[in-house]
Amino acid sequence: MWIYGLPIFCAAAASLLSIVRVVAFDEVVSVSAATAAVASSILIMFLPNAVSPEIFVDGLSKIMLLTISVIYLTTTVFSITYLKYVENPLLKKRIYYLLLNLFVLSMLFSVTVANFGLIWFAVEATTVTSALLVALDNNQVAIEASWRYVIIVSTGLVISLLANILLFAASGTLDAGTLRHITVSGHLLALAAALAIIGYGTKAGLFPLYTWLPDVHGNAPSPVSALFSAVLLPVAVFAIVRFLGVVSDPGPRRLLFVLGVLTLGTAALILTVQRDLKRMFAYSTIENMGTILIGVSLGGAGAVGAIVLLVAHGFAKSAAFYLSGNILSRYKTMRISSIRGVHRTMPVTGMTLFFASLAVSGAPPFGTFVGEFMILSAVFAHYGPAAAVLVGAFIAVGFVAVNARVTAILFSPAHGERRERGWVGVTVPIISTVLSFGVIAFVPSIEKLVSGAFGL
Amino acid sequence: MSATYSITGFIIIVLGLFLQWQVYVSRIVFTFAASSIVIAVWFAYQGIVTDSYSPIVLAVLTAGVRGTLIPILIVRNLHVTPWRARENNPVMGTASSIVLSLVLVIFSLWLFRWSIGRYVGATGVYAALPFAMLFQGAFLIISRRNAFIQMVGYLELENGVLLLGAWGFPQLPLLIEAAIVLDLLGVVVVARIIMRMREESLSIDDRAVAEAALSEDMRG
Repeated sequence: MWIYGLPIFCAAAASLLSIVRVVAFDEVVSVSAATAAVASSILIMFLPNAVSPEIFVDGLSKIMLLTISVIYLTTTVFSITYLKYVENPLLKKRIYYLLLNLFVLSMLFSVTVANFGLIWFAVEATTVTSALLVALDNNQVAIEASWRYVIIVSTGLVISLLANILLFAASGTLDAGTLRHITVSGHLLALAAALAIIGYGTKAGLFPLYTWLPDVHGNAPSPVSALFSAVLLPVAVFAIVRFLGVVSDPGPRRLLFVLGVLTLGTAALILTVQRDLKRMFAYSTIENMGTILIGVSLGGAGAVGAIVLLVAHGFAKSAAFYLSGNILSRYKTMRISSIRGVHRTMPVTGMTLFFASLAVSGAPPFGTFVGEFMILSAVFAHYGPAAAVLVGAFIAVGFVAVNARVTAILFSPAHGERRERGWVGVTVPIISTVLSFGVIAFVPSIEKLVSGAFGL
Repeated sequence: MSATYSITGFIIIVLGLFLQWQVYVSRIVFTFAASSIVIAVWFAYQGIVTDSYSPIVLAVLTAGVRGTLIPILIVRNLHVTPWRARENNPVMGTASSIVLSLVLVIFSLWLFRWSIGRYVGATGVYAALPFAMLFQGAFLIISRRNAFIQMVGYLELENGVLLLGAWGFPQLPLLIEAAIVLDLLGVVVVARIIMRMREESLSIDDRAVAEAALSEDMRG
C-alpha cells in the first residue's frame, strides 16, 4: 500500500530539503523529486486500485496523480529560468520552492486520501500553501489578488465543509471505500452535494464564484498560474466528482449542468473583451472548467470526455502560461495591444504559443478537441440539439476570441531585435504542448481507467 | 445537555450580534475570542458528561487555537499598524447592520427548519444556532472593508460549522475536527502575512486619512 504514497513522499521530501542553504540545491531537489513523482505515478498506473481506510486510489486518482506530477515537473524546471526575471521577489528562492513543493504535496494528498473530510482539508491546504506564491511579484495588485484569493476561496470552502458534515449526517461515514458501496438517497444528501458543488466550485472557477480567478491568474508568476490552471482547479473538480459518486438523486447533477453552462457562457462572452494576455488565458480556463463540469454532470461518455479535456487542457494551458511568462520577461507588459510581432522577436515562443492557444481553445488534433467533441455528443444525447448548439456556440465564441488575440500579438509588425529565451524557457512549453496533442493516443486508456471510477 | 446548550446558544447569539455593531478591530477580535472560549467550555462540558475524550481534545484545541492563539496573532498585527485599528468606511451603517443581523438570525432559524432540521429531527430555536453563526460571519465579511474584520468574519463562519459538527453530529471523527482547527491556523498565519503586506503597500495618503479618522474618533 505504501507505494501509492510515493508521489506524496517525493513532494514532502523536496519540501523539507529545499530549505537547505546550498546554492541551487532547492532547484535540484525539486526537479529530482518531481521526476521521481512522475516515475512513481507511472508505476501506480499499472498497479491495481487501492482501497483502505487511509488511501483510495482508483482510475480517476491515477490519472490525477500522473497529471499533477507531470505538471509539477515542467513547472519546477520552468521556474529555474523564470525566477531569474522576477525583479523584486517577495520570497527567497528556497522559500518559493518550499511552498511550491508543499502546494503540490497538498494536491497529491487530496487525490489519494480516502476520507472526504481529509480531501476537504487538503483542498483548503492548497490555499494556505499557494497564497504567498501568488504575491511573488511583490506589488500592490498581486498582494490584493492574493488577499481576495484567500478570503473568497476559504469562505467558499467553508460551504464544502458544511457539505461534508451533512454527508456524514446522511450516511454515517466519510470514508470513500465505504461510501462507494452504499447508495444513500434523500434530501439531506442532495443538499450536501449541492453545497459541495458550490463550495468546491468556488475553487474550480464555477459561475458566479470565479471572481478571484482572473485576478490571481493575471497577477501570479507564470509557473504558479500554470499550476493553478492546469491542476489546482481540476483537483477541486475531483472533489466535486467524488461527492457526486455518493448521490443517487439526479438534482445535483442537473444543478452542475446548469452552472457548467452558465460558467462556459459567461467566460466565453467575457473572453471577447479581454485586453490582458494572462487574464484572457484565465477566462479560457474558466471556460474549459465549465465544459468539464458539463461533461462530469452527464456521466458516461460525457465524463470520459471531461477527463480527456481536463488532462489535455492541463498540459496546453500550462504551456500557454509558461509562454506568457517568456513574453512578459521580454515586453514587460501583458497588455495585448502593446505586445506586437512576437513571431519575429521571439520566434520559438511565438510559434509554440500559436499551437498552445489552438490547443487550449479545443482545435483538432489536440486532446482538448476530442474531449470537447465527446462532451458535445453527450449533451446532444441527454438534452437534445438545442442544448448542444448552445454549448457548441459558446465553445466557438471562446475559440475565436482566444485565437484572434493570439494571432494579433504574433503576426503583427515587429519592433525591436530578435531575442529568444534560453533553451529551458522554450523547451518546456514545447513539451507541454506536444503532451496536449499526445493525450489523444491515450483516450482508450483514459476511458478504461475512468469506467467504474468512483463518481463518474 | 440541552439546557447547557441553550445557555451556550444564547451567549453566542448575543456575542454574534455584538460583533456587528463594533467598529474597533480589537473589540471584534476579543468578542470572537470570547465566543470561541464559550464554545470550548461547552465542548469540555459535553466531554465530562458523556465521559468521552474527543470533546475534551476539541475543547483544548478550540480554546488554544481559536480562543487564544489566533486573536493574539491578529491583535499583535494591530499594534504594528494602529491606524488600521477601526473600520473607517463600512459598507453599511451600524444601525442597518444591527437590524439586518437580527433579521439574519430569524432567517437562519427558518432556513435550518426548512433545509436540515426536519431531516436530523431538530427544529428548536437553538438547533439553528450554528446556522445563525454562519450567516453572522458571512454578513461580517460582506458588510466590512477592513481586512482584519473580514478575517474575523471568516473565523466566525468556521466556528458555526465546527459547532454544527460537534453539536449535531458528535460521532464525527475527531481527526476531521482537529484538522479543521489546525488548517484554520494556517489560513490565519498566511492571511496575517498578506494583510501586513497590504498595509505596507497602501499609499501614504490613505494612511493619513485613516490616522486622522482615528484621532478624531478618540477625541470625540
